[in-house]
Amino acid sequence: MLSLIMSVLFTANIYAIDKIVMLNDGKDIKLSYNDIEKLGGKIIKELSIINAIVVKFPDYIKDSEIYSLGYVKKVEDDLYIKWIEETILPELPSVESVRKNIEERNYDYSISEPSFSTDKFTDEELNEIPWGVKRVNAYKAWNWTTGKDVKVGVIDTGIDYNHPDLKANYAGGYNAIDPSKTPLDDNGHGTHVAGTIAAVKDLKGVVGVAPDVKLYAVKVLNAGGSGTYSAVIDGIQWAVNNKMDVINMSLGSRYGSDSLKAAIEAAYKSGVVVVCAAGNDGGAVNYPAKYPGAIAVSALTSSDNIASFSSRGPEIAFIAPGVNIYSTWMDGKYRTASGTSMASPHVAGLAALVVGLGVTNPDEVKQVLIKSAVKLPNLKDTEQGNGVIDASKFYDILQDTEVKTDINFLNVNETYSKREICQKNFDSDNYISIIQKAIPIPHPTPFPPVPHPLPIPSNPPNEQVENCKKQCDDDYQLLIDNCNNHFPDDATKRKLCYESAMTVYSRCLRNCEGGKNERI
Amino acid sequence: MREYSFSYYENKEKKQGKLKISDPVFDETKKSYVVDVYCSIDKRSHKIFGVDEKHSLELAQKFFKERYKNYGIKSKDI
Repeated sequence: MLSLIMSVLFTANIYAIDKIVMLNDGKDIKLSYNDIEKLGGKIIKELSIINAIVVKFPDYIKDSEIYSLGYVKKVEDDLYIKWIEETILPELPSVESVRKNIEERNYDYSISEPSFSTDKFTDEELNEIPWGVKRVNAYKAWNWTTGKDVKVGVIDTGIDYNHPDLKANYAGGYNAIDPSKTPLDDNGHGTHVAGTIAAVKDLKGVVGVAPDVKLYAVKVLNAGGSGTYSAVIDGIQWAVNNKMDVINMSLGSRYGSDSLKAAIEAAYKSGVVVVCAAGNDGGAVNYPAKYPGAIAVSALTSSDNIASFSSRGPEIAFIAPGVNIYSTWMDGKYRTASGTSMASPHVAGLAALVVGLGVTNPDEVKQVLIKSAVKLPNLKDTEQGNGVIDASKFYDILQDTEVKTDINFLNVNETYSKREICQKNFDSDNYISIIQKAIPIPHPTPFPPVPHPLPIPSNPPNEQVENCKKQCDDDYQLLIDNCNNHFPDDATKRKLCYESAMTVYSRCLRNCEGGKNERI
Repeated sequence: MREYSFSYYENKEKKQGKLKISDPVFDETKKSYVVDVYCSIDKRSHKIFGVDEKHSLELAQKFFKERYKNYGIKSKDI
């Protein structure tokens, strides 16, 4: 029977060389090294985010012997599998001919909130917006935020970070397959996903849902779209350690794993919004989308139906455009592709916009997305979850959102409204960028890929982190001076300016804790 | 002046810290209310500005939360 199973797995190109050994909570990983080595095991890498190690054991070692160590919670094969389906990325005749054939609904492109902006989109600007970005009304939120400074990690095949539509937003990354190498895309899938999230608004090619975010490539899959569970978990770990606000995982497996589940849970608990593709087999939702803590996304056609290939089930949170999606491709190219892999980055980009509006807790981000979503009458809940997200509603929703603060040492109100953070009707420009531009501090260049293993800030922060924070302190004072200079006679604007300065200051501190010295 | 004592951790060692918050004072030059936030952890004083007394205290609260959140300070101590 075992040989039959192994035969089937190998036929399907699924195999495991190493094992993921999850230790009991509180067990020091380093203290297990001796025991593991006594069993003949060779430590491959640590997955501290789930208190686990990846080990290569001799063939004769049975799992029962590993469990006999007494502090092992779970032993799993570190399966090497294909995480993305080739069939969802068909070769197409030519970009332009396909693009002309893309179905587009007759959307209302006018801005319906005149108090926020008098901007109108020109035909040239509208041509840059793919149908999916229009369908979720992302461009209607751009008057309030374009996701500036929000950190989005694409856990995938890498990103073509030299692509002209992505280069400006690329901020770094990590190659979990070979940490000595860059996360350059050698498949195309990750670059396509990245374009839907963050292609720049430059009247060329395409524009993403959140065109000003900081984009990070986390390469966990090889050129064939395959990879191990441990590489995927390592990628999630990198994203957590580097303080990503949002991660997109357009990858999936039918095989569940306790270690992958724990990694998703750890990311969610650390404050990362985790968005995952539901799967393309038309059946049940795949893993990791199925896990609590992940936002599972099914695929929508341009005629508002669920794509036939889309996986579905009670775990679906949203449905998003996933058929005939035009986006960036590796080698500086563009391509149209279909799949829940294309739907997921729409939601990841929308989540980034919500973060850009000042909401950082994953639960609160999801609540805003849920409140903005519109259910389609022709679809079941298991097909669409909460429906299609409408970014034009973000502003109104946040106006009414009260956010709790978790310490209240000054006896002031425990809640405060997000209303003021979003109210920018007095100025059409992005508020934070105004105060940033006026400060004579050079903006840092995107930092290089962080080496592995990542220097995780410890408690207490080290000297470098403290110095970085002191720079943030100084910069905050400059921001305040700038607010005072700009709005000496207008208390309302000055109040908003102070709030924005504090938001920028908070991000500066977070960046320091992420291991890089980035000033405001 | 408000003064608070709290416990925090440094090198896995439990220590006692002090937080001092001045009363909001109107700054004529900046036409804003300013609060001095002093924390014994880094022995630094920070000026936090708001448009009125309540606003300056709210921002001071937010500032303290962000600035020292890695020291394991419990809200019940504050």
